[in-house]
This record gives sequence, C-alpha cells and structure tokens, in this order.
Amino acid sequence: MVVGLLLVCSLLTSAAMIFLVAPTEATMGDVQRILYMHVAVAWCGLTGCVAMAGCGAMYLARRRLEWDYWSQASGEIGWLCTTLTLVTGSAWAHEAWGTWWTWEPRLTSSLVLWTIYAGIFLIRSSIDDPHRRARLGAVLALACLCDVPLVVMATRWFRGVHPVTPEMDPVMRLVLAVSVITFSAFFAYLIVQRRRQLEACERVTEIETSVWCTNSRSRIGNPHS
Amino acid sequence: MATLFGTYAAAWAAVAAYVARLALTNRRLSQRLDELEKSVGSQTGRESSSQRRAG
Repeated sequence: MVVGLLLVCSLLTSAAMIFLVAPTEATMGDVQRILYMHVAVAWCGLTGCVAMAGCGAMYLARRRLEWDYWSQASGEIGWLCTTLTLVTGSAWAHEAWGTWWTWEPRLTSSLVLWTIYAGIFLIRSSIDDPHRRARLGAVLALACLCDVPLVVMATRWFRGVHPVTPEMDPVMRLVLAVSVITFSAFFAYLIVQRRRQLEACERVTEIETSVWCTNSRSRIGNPHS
Repeated sequence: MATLFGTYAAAWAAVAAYVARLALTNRRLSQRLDELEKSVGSQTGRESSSQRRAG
C-alpha cells in the first residue's frame, strides 16, 4: 500500500515535470509532450512482452505454475501498455503527419504485437486446465517475442516516417528519463499485484473444488440429507 | 492543447480502469476466501460432532 502511494506520488511528479518543467518544442508546440508518455508506455509494452516470454520459458523448463502467473501478469500489463502506445502514438501522428494512422513499419509491427497479445489472452481464456493453458501460453509468448526486434528495429531496417532518435534538449531528455523510470516502476508494481491475485484465484478454485468434493462424498454417504 | 489533454486523459482513464478492476477483483476474492473458510470451518465442526456421536 505504501509502495503504491509512493509510486502514485512519483507519477504525479513526473506529470508535473512533463507539463511544467519540459520546454515547449519549437515546431510541434505543446503536442510534443505526448512523447514523454508514448515512449514510456512503448518501453513498458516491449519489456512486458520480453518478461511474458521469459517467464513462459521458465514455466516450460520448471513446470511450475508460479512462472505462468508471472507470465500472464506481465502479458496483461504489456498489452495495456501497447494499447496506450497505439493510442498516444495515433494522437501524436494526427498532429505531426495529419493522419491518425498510416501503414508504416513501426506502426504496423506495433499493431501486430498488440494483435498477438490479444490472441494469446483469447486462447488462454478458452482453456480450463491450468497446466495446458500455461504450456500453450508459454509457446505463444515465445512466438510473440519474435515481433519485438521488428518493432525496435523497424525504423532502421525499413524506410518509414516514424522518427528514429530525434535530437533533444537536455531538460527534455531528463523529463523523458524520469517518465520512463516512473512508468516502469508503476507497471512493475501492477505486475506484482496481478501475479498475487492470480495465485489467490487459483487458491480459491482449489478450496472450492475440495469443498465440492467433500459435499459430494457426504451426500453419497447419506442420500437422505 | 485539446489533443494533448485528451490523450493524457484517455491514457490515465485506461490505467485507472485497470487498477479499479484489480482492486475490485481483490475485494471479491478476499470475500470469497472468507466465505469458503467459514464453510470449511462449519463442515469440520459438523464432521467432528458426528464423529463424537459415532464414538
């Protein structure tokens, strides 16, 4: 709880820095401030995918459900961040390029990542057996990992309109670094919370099953009750 | 300016919705755990009293 409050305070500080400390960019004006959130959530979306695949690989190696909880939690937060990346990027593109969307390599590979994330959760939700779900989730997460280098290197490998690494004022760099660090810490905290919740869910299911088994046994033993 | 604030508002609303869902599920889970613990406790009590009668 204390950690959560501290993280909310650091996010508010980061927001204050974005709106009050960062200088206004000459060509784009205030809309450029979207970049501080866009880069931070894009970073979290990609690291979420790497964490999901890493934990999935650990599950395949150890066959322990704890790794699947980590994998699922990282994937959910990664998917949320990728959604935010697409939304913030689209708003930025509308002001910078005059269009909400263009089939540009970085944007397209990011949309592919978002779609794979969504597909993984759709498939996971259709499987009841936890180990089968974890196994398939891990394999799909490892497949999803193949898209990460494409997203990262899209601006270098293919010709597109997405900026590569624009020249920035030192204060802007500082604000961006603070934003990336605070967002990463906040989303890492959410991953830990979600992982605990998934474990609790499994415990509830186990107790419910054992209660149901006990009730069934007592009904069979005493059919008039 | 409207695009900037609109984007930040939408992004924060999405994050807030996820956090709210997390908190609500936590609450529901702890309530369900309490119910189950009570149910298991009463069953154990019933079983031990019937065992006492049988004994």
